Amino acid sequence: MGSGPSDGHLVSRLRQQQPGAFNEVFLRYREPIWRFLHRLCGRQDVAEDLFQDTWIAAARNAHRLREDSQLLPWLYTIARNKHRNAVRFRLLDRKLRAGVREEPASPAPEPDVEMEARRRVAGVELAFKSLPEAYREVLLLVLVEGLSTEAVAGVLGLREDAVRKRLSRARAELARRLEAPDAKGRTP
Amino acid sequence: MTDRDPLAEALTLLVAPPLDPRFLIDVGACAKAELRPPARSAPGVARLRLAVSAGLVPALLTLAAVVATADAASTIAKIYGKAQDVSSQ
Repeated sequence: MGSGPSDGHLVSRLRQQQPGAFNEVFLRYREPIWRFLHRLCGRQDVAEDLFQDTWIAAARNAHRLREDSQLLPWLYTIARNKHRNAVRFRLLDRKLRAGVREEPASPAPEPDVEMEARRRVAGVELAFKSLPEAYREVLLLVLVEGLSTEAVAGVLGLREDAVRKRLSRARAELARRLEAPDAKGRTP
Repeated sequence: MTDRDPLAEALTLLVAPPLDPRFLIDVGACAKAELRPPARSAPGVARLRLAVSAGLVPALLTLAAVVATADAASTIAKIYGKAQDVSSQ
């Protein structure tokens, strides 16, 4: 990780509710948490709400951190729980369904290369969004964010072997959907 | 992992747009306001005061109990002593 205090030191200071430590954590980890939430739910407005809720919850619960807690997995856990709660209350699903129809196709004519790239992104988006939430979570945490299976097991509340199994199924399902004729973005 | 992972590469195409800096400032401020005030480390005087007050209450209660018991005992001794005097005569 970059310069600045170590995560362990930040955890100690966070446990004492030091605002300076919270600032450090926010600056250091806001980007990965934002990416995770945005990719998980696929909507800017929903992701923004969840992002804010995540950081508020982190501040409220900072004093409960254990001395050996790992910051980023802890933040992913909060973000993931916020997302799950939102899905549970069915707010997100409604917005997502509306969002899929809302997204307009690009009106301006584009060069072939750019259009192909866009089509590929759209194909990945479509395939990824259509996966079950449990698969999306594990794929993002392992493949995109690069967390170890041990850390992901902590975030998801699973055993490591269960994470590996889920990851394997999620990979197979994503690959299948990317290959499917609906996923227009697949590479030839 | 050094091998190319096509699935991981595909997922990196899902780019999250950058966050509005004003939004970030708001979120940071809102969240920081939720931090509980830092626990003040008890200074020596406060700790001493706490120790004294914590010790004083049981001490006073014990003293009161001892005084009451002594009073009762002396009263009983007076009565019992008189009764003994009467019976011995």
